[in-house]
Amino acid sequence: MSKIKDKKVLVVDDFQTMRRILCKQLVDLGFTRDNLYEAADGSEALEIIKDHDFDLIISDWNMQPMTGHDLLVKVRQEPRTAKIPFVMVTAEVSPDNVFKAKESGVDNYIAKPFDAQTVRRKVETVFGALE
Amino acid sequence: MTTENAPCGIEAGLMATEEGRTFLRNYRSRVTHDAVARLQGTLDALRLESGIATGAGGGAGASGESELVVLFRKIIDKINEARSELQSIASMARERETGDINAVEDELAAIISDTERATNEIMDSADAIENFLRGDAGGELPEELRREILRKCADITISCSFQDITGQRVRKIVEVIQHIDQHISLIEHNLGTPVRDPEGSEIDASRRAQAEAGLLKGPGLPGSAVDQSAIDEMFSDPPAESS
Repeated sequence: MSKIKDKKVLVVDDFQTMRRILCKQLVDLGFTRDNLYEAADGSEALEIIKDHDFDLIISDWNMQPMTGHDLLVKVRQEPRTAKIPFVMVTAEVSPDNVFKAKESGVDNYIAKPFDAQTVRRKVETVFGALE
Repeated sequence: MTTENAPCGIEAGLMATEEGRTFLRNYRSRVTHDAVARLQGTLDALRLESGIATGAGGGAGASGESELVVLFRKIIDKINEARSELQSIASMARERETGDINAVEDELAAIISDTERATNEIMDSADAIENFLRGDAGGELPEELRREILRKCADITISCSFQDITGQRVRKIVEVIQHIDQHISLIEHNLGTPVRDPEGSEIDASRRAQAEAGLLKGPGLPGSAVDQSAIDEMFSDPPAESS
């Protein structure tokens, strides 16, 4: 199994500051900056996914024009991407949202605003314990 | 030769041109005005017939007005109320035409971009301090102090996520304004003014469906949303360590 520094992650959020915060967190956890990709909404993410094999997708929910939930559904429908771990990071934290995301195949869910420990725990559920 | 459907045809013909629509609006206004005037005339006649003096009075019992007269008075009050509401809506629509609503949306968008710029500057500064501490100069500081400052820098960066929450709250306000704007457009449409095409793409439709299902509410107010520990339970994650 390749090391954390070799893992490719796609961070999807319509707020550039949030993408920056998440990428910084991931770098602090051992990911390589060059392996972190960013998209501002679901449709932009799908374009990037066409050209890369990702080990993890971290996505916001409420984006325009394509939401994170729609992205999740599309990713799960496509055999090549169906198994990519998908973590939702969102302020949409009603039980209905969480249930809907689980039903659509999300692997984990982070409520905004979050802390560094939460990001670490959720990444560890995907890749195992980090150093 | 006139037929049963002729009035509809005439109205459709008038709706086809700006002059025709203006004529129809003026005509409706005149008809409403005439109807109110006729009602007032009827009321005055009823007053005369029943020997009631004109002018403001109390209820049926107090002034001696019959129940019918009181009812007419209420109807006229309601009509006048509706007319002033329509005038107020028309005034809002005129404001919208001059771009006031767009200007409000621009102001709110500026809040997002201003906080975004400020947040990036804060994060740049935190990054610069971190780089300094990780460099040679950082070695001159006691190790415990250096680590503590690095932790604080990480906290600053994480705290900058407020900008995302702020932005989402502002967007909620913009969406409410747009919703009101659409209602005004609908009223304009009913008054004979063209309304913009509400059709959108498949993606827009999916987003609208999620919004209607209450899945795009944005950040909730304190106490109204589930917290991270409740979410963790739903995913059977190991419990969060206290931080």
